[in-house]
Amino acid sequence: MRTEFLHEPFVDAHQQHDASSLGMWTFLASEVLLFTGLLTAFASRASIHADAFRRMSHEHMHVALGTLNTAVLLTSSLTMAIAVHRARESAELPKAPLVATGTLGIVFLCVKGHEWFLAFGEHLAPWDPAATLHADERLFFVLYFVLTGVHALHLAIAVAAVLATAAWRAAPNTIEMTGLYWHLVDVVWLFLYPLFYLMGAG
Amino acid sequence: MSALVRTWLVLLALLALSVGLSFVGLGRTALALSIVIAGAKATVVAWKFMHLSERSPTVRLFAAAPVMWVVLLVGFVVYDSVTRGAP
Repeated sequence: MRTEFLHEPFVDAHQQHDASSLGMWTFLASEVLLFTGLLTAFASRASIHADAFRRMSHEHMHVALGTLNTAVLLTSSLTMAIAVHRARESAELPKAPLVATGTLGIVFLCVKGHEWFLAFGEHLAPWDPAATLHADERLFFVLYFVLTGVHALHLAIAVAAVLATAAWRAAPNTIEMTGLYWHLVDVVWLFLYPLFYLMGAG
Repeated sequence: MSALVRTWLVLLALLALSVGLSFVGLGRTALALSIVIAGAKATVVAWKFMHLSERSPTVRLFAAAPVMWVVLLVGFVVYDSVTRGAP
């Protein structure tokens, strides 16, 4: 473990790393709770209006785009893990994997944005005056836009954070903690993907 | 480094499995299976990419606690919804 980034009040780099890990995991737990609330809303509505939710998923979700985006995020987690690995092993800033991670995040957001605009075009947005959906079908899209929207916001913050670690030559510890946040945003998507896309597939 | 690439290949294989299972006519079972697979993917990401395998028991406990909250909250809400019968 490199020691030139040691801060007060820690006596050694190991203790500093332990403390940041525990702090970061506590923050991630609070983030999980935020999504748990939203997922609970989804689970309760999906179990009551099961047929409408499956129909909306089947008719309006693009499984190919959702699967592509899942693969993009899993790959971004690989490049992030490579960045953390290199930051630990050498004194050089792992610029290439960090920029690759941020770029893959932007690719995800572009695909997601494209899907949103497809949905707007089909008048599926709950606020669209031309919408013809029934109340239970509209619920599906309320939850879709809120959950994917809150997730996209988190990913946008993660992209900014990862690119910032590359731009300001962050310490290895900072890169690792940013990586933890990145992976959590990936993990949240891993659950949104089957709920919205695979529910009505097949 | 090659261990990280192997982990990534396992994750992509799990993704392919959950897509495949959704198109073979299993109905509701497919959704349940794909949620279980999502849990497996999340565990792999946490254990390998988030280095939980190298962390202290305290950090692992902090990581496991939110899993319990999700299961309790979502589990009991769904249990309530599906056992109410016709309104």
